[in-house]
Amino acid sequence: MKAYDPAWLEARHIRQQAHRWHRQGMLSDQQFAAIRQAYPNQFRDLNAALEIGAFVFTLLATLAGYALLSLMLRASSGLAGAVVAGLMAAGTFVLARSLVQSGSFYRNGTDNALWLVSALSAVWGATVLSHEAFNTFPPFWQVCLLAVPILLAYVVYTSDTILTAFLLLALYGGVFSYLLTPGWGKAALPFVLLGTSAGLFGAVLWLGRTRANALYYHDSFALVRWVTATVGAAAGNYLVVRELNGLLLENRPATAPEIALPGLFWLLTFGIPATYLGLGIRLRCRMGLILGAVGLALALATVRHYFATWPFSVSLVLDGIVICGLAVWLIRYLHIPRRGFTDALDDEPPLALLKHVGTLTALQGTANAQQPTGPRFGGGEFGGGGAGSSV
Amino acid sequence: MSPIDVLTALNARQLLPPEQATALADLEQKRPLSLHHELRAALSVGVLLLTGGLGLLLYEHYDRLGPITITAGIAGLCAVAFGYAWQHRPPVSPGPVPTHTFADYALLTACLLFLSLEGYAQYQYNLFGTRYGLATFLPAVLFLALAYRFDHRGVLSMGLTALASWVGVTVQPLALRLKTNFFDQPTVLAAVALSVGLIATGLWLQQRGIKAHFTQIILTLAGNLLLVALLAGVFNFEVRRWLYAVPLLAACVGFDALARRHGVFLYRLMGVGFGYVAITYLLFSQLLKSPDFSTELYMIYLIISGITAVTYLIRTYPTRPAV
Repeated sequence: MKAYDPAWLEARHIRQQAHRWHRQGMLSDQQFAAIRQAYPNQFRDLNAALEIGAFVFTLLATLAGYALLSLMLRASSGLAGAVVAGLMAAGTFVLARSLVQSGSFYRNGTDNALWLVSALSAVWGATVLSHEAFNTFPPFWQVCLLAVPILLAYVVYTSDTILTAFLLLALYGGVFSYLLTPGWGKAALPFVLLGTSAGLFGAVLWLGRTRANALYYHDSFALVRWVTATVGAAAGNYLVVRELNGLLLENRPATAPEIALPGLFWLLTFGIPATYLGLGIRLRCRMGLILGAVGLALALATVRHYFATWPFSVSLVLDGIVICGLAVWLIRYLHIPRRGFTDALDDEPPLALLKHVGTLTALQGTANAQQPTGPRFGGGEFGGGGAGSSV
Repeated sequence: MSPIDVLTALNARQLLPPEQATALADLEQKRPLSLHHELRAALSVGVLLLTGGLGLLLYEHYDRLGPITITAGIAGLCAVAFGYAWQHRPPVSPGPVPTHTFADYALLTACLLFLSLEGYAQYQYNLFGTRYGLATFLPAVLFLALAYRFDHRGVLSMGLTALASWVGVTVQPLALRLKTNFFDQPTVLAAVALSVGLIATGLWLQQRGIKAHFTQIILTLAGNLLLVALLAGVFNFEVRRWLYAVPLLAACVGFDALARRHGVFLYRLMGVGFGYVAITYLLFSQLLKSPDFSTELYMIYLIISGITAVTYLIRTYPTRPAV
């Protein structure tokens, strides 16, 4: 049972790949036209900006619908509240399904919003029912326990990335919340999070072996891989474990106390990102390279946090010089493709954010130097080198 | 689905000759992984850390280093960075030109250092006296000129942000906020005038074929400034609410028309989003504020208007030959 036709998805993917080859001059116009004819695009074609708008306005309309239904049935809580949640879940599900089937929607914003409202209404309905049954509102980990199977069912059916994010949130949130209760829980937390992440990562790799799964759940699997790899690295990081442990203590001390097995956590702080980086280089995997490099940078920052005697400003300058130097060296080194890597542009879409880091840097840099100035055409303060308030 | 799977599918339907499919498979297996965007992102982060760290370092040690050393140090670094960028400057052209990667970042560094230098000079030597406007207007003009000369989108964004700062608005993307003083009418009017001027200039330059690829950045930044300022006018100045509402709705219609003409649908989202907020606010605050109207009516309004907005966004998107 799948919400979107896998054959349409396959056709879409083949057209996109053929388009890439055609643009690179590896397919003739005639060949590209023949492929397009053999694999027609059945899905609705929409612009990303409009999809965001469609998502927001659909969410607004459905939430208003939820509120209206609750007002009309005077059902804000109790069994009636669960009935309203169930009605909303079913109604939005049927609407989304009908739009997907009759309107050829595929992640056009509207269907994403409807799946989201449907799934979250179902979770809320189940939570309210649990409240009714046990006469007490369930703790957070129990809400997560109820949410995980419901969200998982929706993700299996829709392969929706927003729902996948909620599923991961419920899973990690549930594990975290549950482990705060028993005495042994806090000590076991990093290991359980590491194990959960490794298990999920492995499961997704295993499930993605089949072509059908790899195609249908491509984005969901990618999100799970990124999130689990990130949580795994964070769960083994000495700074994260020590500071979080300090925050969770009943009498919170000014400085987080030393944790048990510090040697192991120092090993993991460097070992996990180094493994990511090694695998990234060996398997030519973008995720491994990015998480490995960022993780190692954070590992060095962890060392600086506990042992450095030099000021923060010196660290910033040194980091800036090292990062710029490494980037410049790699850009020069990869001018010619080496060891399976290149600096040349290709068509594989990287994280969109990376493309905009330059602009963000420029804007942030300007904004830092241009403090709010009021209505007097300037009249403000400057930031930057040694600057304080003007006059 | 890997490129090899695609080739298998195309082969099965005899859409590619076997030799070409084999050659493509070979190419895909040997294709190197591009790190183009990652390396430039790292360079940007490095520049930000370096300039930020230098600023902080000087701030912490200015009494020990002395003003002349600091001024000379920042000015020297700024000159070196700018000199490198100038040495590798692109040819003068009204269209997009290929630029030198490191020169792009050198120019960015030079501009960030210039801001530090200017700020320090004002603090230490009171360079601009009380003419604060000049202190923000000068980098804005300089950056805009450099952006056009060096064909640099990042420096263009800096110039536009500095101009917005000149009228009292600070945009900080990493702080996820737009700091304004939009409770003050002169600020709102100044922001409106500036953004209208920028939009008109952007469209005029595009019409003349001068750096037409800058138009989207100008229209997005200036357009958001215009719409936010007018919306602030609607929210904050009750007596003159309609004086702001009518131009706001006209601007929304204008952006929708621009979206159609330029094929940039972010403009449509801006027009529909700001227009929706304004209309809803006016309806709720002016027409539906009577106690006779029940909460259900508001909900019905939100449902109908939400569906209308979605339908408009989806139905008006032109059907193009999809990839």
